[in-house]
Formats: sequence, C-alpha cells, structure tokens
Amino acid sequence: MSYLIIMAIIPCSILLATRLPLPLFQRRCFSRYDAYLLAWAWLMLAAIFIIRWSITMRPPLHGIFDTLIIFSGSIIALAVLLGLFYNSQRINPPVAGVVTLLLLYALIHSQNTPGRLPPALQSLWFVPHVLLYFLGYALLAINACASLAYLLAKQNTPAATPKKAIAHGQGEPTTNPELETLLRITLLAGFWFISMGLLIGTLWAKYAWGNYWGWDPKESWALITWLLYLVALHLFIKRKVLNKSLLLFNICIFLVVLFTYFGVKFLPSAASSIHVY
Amino acid sequence: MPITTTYIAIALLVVTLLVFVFPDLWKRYVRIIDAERFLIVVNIALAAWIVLGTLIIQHLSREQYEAMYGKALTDILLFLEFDTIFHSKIFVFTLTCSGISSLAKFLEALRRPRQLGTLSWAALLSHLGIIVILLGTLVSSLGAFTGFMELQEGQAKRHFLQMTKNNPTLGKVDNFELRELPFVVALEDFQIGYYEEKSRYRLSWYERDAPTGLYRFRKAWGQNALEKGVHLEALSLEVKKERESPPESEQFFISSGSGNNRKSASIVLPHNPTPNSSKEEEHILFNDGLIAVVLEAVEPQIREYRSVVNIVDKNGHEHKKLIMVNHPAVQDGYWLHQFSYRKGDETSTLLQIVYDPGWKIVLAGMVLLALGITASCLFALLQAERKRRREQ
Repeated sequence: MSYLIIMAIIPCSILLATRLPLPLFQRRCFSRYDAYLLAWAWLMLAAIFIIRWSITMRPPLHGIFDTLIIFSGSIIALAVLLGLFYNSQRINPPVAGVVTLLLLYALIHSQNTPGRLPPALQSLWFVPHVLLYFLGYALLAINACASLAYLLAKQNTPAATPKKAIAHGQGEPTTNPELETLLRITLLAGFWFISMGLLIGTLWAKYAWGNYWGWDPKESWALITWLLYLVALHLFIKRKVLNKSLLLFNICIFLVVLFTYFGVKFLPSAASSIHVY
Repeated sequence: MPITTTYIAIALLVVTLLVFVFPDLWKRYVRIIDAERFLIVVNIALAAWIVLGTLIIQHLSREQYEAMYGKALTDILLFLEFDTIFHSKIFVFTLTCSGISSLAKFLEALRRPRQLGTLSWAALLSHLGIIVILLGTLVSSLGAFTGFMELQEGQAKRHFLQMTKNNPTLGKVDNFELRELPFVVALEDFQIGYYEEKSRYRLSWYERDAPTGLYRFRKAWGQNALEKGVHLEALSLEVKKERESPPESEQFFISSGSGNNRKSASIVLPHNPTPNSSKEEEHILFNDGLIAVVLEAVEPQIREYRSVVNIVDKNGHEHKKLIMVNHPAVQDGYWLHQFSYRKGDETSTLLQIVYDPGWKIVLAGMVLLALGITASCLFALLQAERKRRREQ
C-alpha cells in the first residue's frame, strides 16, 4: 500500500513543484498536464481502493486509512471534472497541496490492517452515509481551495469598480466568473451532501440505538460543521459580491471540517465516543 | 412540564401571535428575529455551545470537576449548567431562538406568498422542516423514555428498567425506575456470532511512572492480531512471532533500537488462548526497567447478536420477532433494540426499550428538511449556472 500511496503523492508533488515557483494564479487554459498528473494519482488511489475491497470483501470505508483514500480520491476526481467543465485550472495547485497532505497522513497509517465491522456498522445505511459525507467533504475541500485561489486572484487584480458602487450592487467586480461559479456550486453541492449524510446518519442512529441524536462528540462536531456551512450558504446566496471576509470565513470553516474528521479523537469527551477512529 | 418544552411552546405561541394577531407590533419592534443576521448569530451561538459541550466532559460529579478545573471554575460551570450543557437553559434558549427565527421567516413569507420566488419557496420548506423537527423533539421531551431489559433464554418478562436520564450512547445514567410494558417478551433464542478467528494477541505498552513506580497504560497495538514481524514505529519495537516453543504455545520476540543499543526479549504464551485466559500475560522490562510490554489474549470480535423473541400482546396474540443490531422490533409503539449481552453468559440478552411519541413528527420534519435543502440547492445551482452563462 505504501508504494501505491507514494506513487500517488509523486504526481501531486510534481504538480505543486511546477506551479509554486511560478506566479501561482496566472491566467491560462486548463492544461492536459495537470489533468494527467491528477488522473495518475487518482488511478493509484483507485488501485488501493480495489485491493482493500478484495481483501475485506466489502466497500473499504471503515477506519482512518480507508476514509483518507476515499476522501483524497473524491477530491481529485471532482476537482478534475469541475476544472474541465468550468475551465478553471486555478484550483489545481491548492487541490494538489491538500491531497498531498492527506496522502502523507495516509502513509503513516498504511500498515493498518483492514478492520472488521462491528455489528452496528453492518447496516445498509453505512455505505451511503460514509459516501455522502466524504463526497461532501471533498466538495467543501475544493470549495476552500477555490476560495483561496479566488482570494489570491482578487489580490492580484486591481480593483476596477469603486467600493461604493460595489456596496450598492451596481458594479460587477467578478475577477473570474468561472471560479466564482465553481465556488458557489461546490458550496451548494457540498452542503447538500453533508446535509443528506447527517440526515441519513440520524435515521441510522434511530434504527441502531433508538434515538435520532446522542450528542456524541463526532455527531456534535458534524452538527457544528453543518451550522457553520448553513451560515456560509446564507451569506453566499444573498450576496452578489464575494468579499474577502466571506472567502476567509469559507476557508476557516473548512478547517472545522478537518477538525471534525481528524481532531475529535483528541477531545476530552472523545473517550466515550462511538464514532472515533 | 420540562423547561425545554415550556421555552419552546411559549416562544412559538408568542411569535405566531405577533405575526398574525398584532402585525403592527411585529413590524415595528420584533421584526429582527426574521432577519438573516439574527439567524447567523443564533447558529454561531449554537455552534459555540456545542463546542463547549465537547470540550467539557458531561455528567461528571462536582468532585471530578473540582479535580479538573478547581473550585472557582467548577462553581461557574455548574451555575451555567455546563455539566449538562445540552439540557441547560442557555442551550435550550438558543435552540428556541433558532426555532422562532425559522418560524418567523416562514410566517412572514406566508403573509405575502405571491411575492415569493421558487428559491424562497424551497427555503421555506427547509424552515418548515426545522420547525417540525423542533416540534417533534418537544413531543419527545414530554413522553419519550429509554430503558433496558435483560432476558435469559426461556425467560418471559413484562418489566424493564427505565433510565431517568436517557443518553444511552454516552452511557450516562442517573437512576433507574422499574416500569411495565403493555406486552410480555419471551426470549426463545439468543446467539452471538464471532468472526472466524477466536484467539488474538494484543501488545500493550505500559510506561513506568518514576516517582510512584507504578505502570501506566500508554498504547495498544494489534486489534485483529499481531502478525509475524510487526514494526511498531511509535515505540521503535519489532515483534516477531515464531514457533520455536511447543506447538500449543506461541513465542514472541520483541526488540527495539539498533546496533549496540539493540535490546531484545522474548515471551511465550498459549497458542490458542480463550477470552478467559486473557490474564495469562507476561511482562518484559525494557530500557532500564522503564518500559514494560504485555502480551495478552483478548476477546474474539463479535460479528453479530441476534435474539428471537416471542411477544404476547394484551389480547393474547403471539408475535415472533427477530431482534438484531440495526434491526429493531416494534410493538405497540415500543422499539426493542439489541443492545448487548451478559459477559460470560451467552444465553442472556440485553434489550434496549425505547418509547418515543415524537419520532414520526421528527421523521416528517427531516423529510421536509431534506426536500427543502434539495430544492434550495438545486434552484441556487441553476441560478449560479444562469449567471455564469450571462457573464460569458
């Protein structure tokens, strides 16, 4: 597994290395080069996914290693597809950066033997719940990357419209309509996926333990994430202009997503959690 | 009536009255609660209370909090009810604010339905979903309860122990009360299925506390089994499982470090330990006696539990039901869940009994919320796409 992960890290690192020394957000077409590099990384992750599936004889979605693979793979697949569709190559370097970090973390856990499912996880709800969440997380990761790219692109572009005009909604300060659409679409779709994941999770909890909600630390942080993205959604839908604070807020709440995924196990209340892995 | 219910009921009544009976008063003074800013503040406040709820371990005793935070902080914490934050007045108040914000938006929009666009209708559906979920929790808070029933094969029971504070997932129970079901449950058969491998080894690392000389647990490896040649990076240990010992035993070689600093030791344990032999452990002292390594046989991993029960209702009719984890049995509004079993006695099952009169309302609210979110996201996506095409 380690070799396959390293083989996936290499193209992402090449993408990063070739882009970072250059002015990061230059206007240019979506290059085949980027897509091939990311596709290569995705193929390696797909191979790991298939191998794990053949070992466990069930979809490998249990434990930190398996979820890191599905998370990274989803980010790459969605970023390439959305990038091609919206002709927006600017998200590729931050996406490659995020995936590299995730895969480096996966490398630490690559010796983990696939765990056996406890009775509670042997449910029809398990696969849709996990898949919805990780597709949502992947879209929100792309959203954070797009926010970063948009923020830097805005910084590099001189303001053409006076601030007063923007405040009154008269001007169109969009620096990159494709990137802005990508931002809105990933936020909306990501929110939809995590909402459905949350709702399916509550239904599953009702069938497994009799209560929709148990205030388990992971559940609580999933709700915190949902509430914060609900705030972001209200802000994004209402405003025609994407300002700096909005984009920064977007990046910050993705850090909350990462905490929900990686950090909950370090909380004092995590000892009693049934979700921590 | 619980404090939660009182808050929510009064708030919902007041908002409805204000919007429809005293519209002028509503417009002049209290319109703020259907403003977007109010919703944002309430959501962030809710998120903040939930963060606190995960930072502070809930349901501990005063003595335990004092040991952790000191007396002064404990007094504040208990005064603000942060030891049971999800039932505290401040949390319920914030939750109520969220509900009335949704209700205010919903009612306000209903006053002028012709001005609403498709996106607004979709958003209204989401708000309605939140209101219905809160109403469902209100009904649940009035009549829901959770309890447990232990049954042996061949035994029939009507009584069960009800928890006075129901938080089964966190295992925090304040008290039990004996209650009666409107039917009799008889356990016909109880089975526990194990994964194939019935014996496993686990390696645990204990570190010696220098002042007291006691060993404290630090980490464990090998949830499934320790295979030959395991490298444990955190401790720089290498475990080799070899068959140099008698056939009924397993010999483990454990080494750490390299070159002149390399240290090794070996221990022998039964080849096929049973859960009861888990106490047959060996200790090895490493690095001047500062580290001890223990190998132990652990319990086999359970794949499934299943209880076959015969329920005799008040009319004397018999209903045979299978109860498994994720497969509860429902009888007269009571949900019977497979919860656990008595250790060492594989003929005794532990069932969880849940009665929740509000579950269907919550479910209806969740369906509305799902539909509302789906429609809102879809319409907003279409809007964004239209905007992009216009700009192109």
